[in-house]
Amino acid sequence: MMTTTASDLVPAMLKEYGDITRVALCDYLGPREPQRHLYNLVADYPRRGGRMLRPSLCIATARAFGATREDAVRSAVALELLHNAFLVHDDIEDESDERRGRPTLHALHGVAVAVNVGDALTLLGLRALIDNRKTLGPWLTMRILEEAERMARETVEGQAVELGWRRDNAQTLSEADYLEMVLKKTCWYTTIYPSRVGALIGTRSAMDLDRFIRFGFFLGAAFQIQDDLLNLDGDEARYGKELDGDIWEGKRTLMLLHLLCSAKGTERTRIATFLGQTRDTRSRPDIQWMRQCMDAYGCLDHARQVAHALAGAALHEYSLLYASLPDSRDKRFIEALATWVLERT
Amino acid sequence: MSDQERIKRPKLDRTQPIRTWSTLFGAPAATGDTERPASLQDVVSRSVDLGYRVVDEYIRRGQKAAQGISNRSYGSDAVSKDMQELTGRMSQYASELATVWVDLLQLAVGNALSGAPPQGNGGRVGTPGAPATASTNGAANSETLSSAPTRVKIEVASARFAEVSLDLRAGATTRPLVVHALRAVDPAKPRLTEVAFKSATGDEAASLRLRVPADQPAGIYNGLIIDEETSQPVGTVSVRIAAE
Repeated sequence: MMTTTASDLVPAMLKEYGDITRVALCDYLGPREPQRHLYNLVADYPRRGGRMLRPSLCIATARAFGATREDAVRSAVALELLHNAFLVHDDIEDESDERRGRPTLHALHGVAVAVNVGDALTLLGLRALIDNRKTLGPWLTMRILEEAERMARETVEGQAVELGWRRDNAQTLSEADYLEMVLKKTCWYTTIYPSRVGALIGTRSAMDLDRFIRFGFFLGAAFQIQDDLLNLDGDEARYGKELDGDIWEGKRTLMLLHLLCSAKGTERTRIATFLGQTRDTRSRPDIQWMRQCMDAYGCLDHARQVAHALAGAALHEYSLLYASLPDSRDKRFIEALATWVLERT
Repeated sequence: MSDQERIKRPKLDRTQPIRTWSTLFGAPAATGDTERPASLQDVVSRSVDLGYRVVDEYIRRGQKAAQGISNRSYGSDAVSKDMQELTGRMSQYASELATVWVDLLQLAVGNALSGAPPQGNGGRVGTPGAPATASTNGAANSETLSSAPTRVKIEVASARFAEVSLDLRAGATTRPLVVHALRAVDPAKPRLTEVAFKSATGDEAASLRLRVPADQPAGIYNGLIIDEETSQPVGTVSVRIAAE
C-alpha cells in the first residue's frame, strides 16, 4: 500500500486546497469595469501564484474539526485576497522591486495606482467574508468578521512597529522585540488567524480560540525566520524576490539583530552608518560587506537554530491542541507544516 | 598642571544595556575569539523559553485588555441582548406585515369598486395623548374616500409607556367601525380587549380609546379595524407596550 510521507503530504495538500481556493477566487476576480485601470491589476498578484499556505491551513483546520470544504472556502478566499492586499502595500512600504518573479505592482503602474489596487483587494476580501452568510449563517459570519478585524489590526500594528524601527534607525533591539513584532506582523495573518477561523467554522464557535495563539506564533515565527533566511541564501528563481533585498531595505531581521549584537568597534560603526542611509544611497559593495559580516559572525546559523527551536515548540503546541481529534489527512497536514516551513526552498 | 599623565576611564564598547535574551542567563553569548560560542542546545532552549515568554506576555496583555472591553465582546450576554432585539424586531415586522396586508386588501377592494388600477397605499401615525392623523395618498375608491386630512383623537389609559400607531383609510372615520381585540405574535400573551373606536360626527373628530391593564405583558399588539356595514377591514391599530 502506498503511504504518503510528511514531506509529500504538504505540497499535495497545498495544491489540492490551493486549487479549490483559486476556483472560488474567480468569483471575485472576474472581469468588470473599470477593467483596465482596476480589475485587471487587482487580479495580477493572485494570478502570479503563491503557495496558498494560509487558505490551505484554514480549510484543513476547519475540516480537522469536522466542517466541510465548502464551509471554509469563502474564508480561505478572503484570506488570499487580504494577503495579496497586504503584499501590494508592503511592496510600496518596503520599496521592493520584485514579487513572485516579476516587477512589483507599484514598479509597473506607479504608487498611486498600486495603493488603490491594494484597497480594492481588501474590500473584495471583505465581500468574500460577508458571503459566508449564505453557508454559515449571520452569527458565525459576524464572528469571523470580528476575527478578521482583529487580524488586520494586529498586522498593521506589527507593520507599524517594523516601519518605525527602520525610520528611527533602531539599533538596540532585542530578540524579544523581534519576536513580538513577528507575532503581530506575520503570525497573526499567516498562521494564527487561519487556524482560529478554521476552528470557529469546524466547531461552530465552541472552542477557546486563544489556544491557537501559541501554536500559530511558533509556526509563524519559524516560517518568517526561514523566509528571511531564504532572502539571503535562497534560490532567487524559486524565492521570487531579489536576494539580499532585506539588507538593501535595512529590514530588522533576526540575522541583522545578531550581527548588531556581535560586531564591535569599527565594524559596528560601519553597520550603524549603513543602516542610517536610505535605500537609494546604499551601495552594492556595502551590501556584500554586510552579508560577509553575517557569515563571519554565524548570523544565518544562529537564525536557523532559532527557527528549528520554534518549529519544535510549534509541534509541542500542536500535540496539545489536536491530540483529542481523530486521525485525518488534514490533521497530519497541519502537523507536517512545522517541518515543512523549515525545509522549503 | 601635573607632569603625570592623567588616568582616564577606558573607552567602553557600549553605552547602553544589551537588551537580548542572551544576557538573561549570564554573560552575553559568543561575540569574539575569547568567548565560548553558545551551544546548539543553549540556543534551542533559550529560544523556546524566550518564545513562550513573548507569547504568554502577549496573551496576558490581550486578556487584560479584553476584560476592560468585555461589554463590547460577542459573548453570551451580547447574544442574549441580540435575541431580545431580534424578538422585538420580529414583532415590529409582524406589525408592519399586518399593515401591508391591510393595504393590499384596501387596494383589492378599491379596485373592485372603481375598476381603476391601484395607485398607492395608506399612511400611518398616531401618538399617545395627542390628536392623531391618518392620511392617504388617494388610493382606491375616489367615490367613497376623501383626500382631506383625517383627524383621529387617541386616548390611552396606561400606567406604562405605550406607543400607538394607527393606520386608517381616508374617509373611514365617518363609517361605523369596530376594533378587534389587539393580539401579540406570542399567542400566550393575553389580548388587549378594552379598545373602542368612536366615529366622527359633525365637528367632533373620531376617537380611539384604549386601556392597557396594569399586568399586560410588554410587547407589540395589533388589531384590525373593520367597517361594521361592509365587514371590510379599513385599518389597523398597533400598540407597543414598554417593559416596566
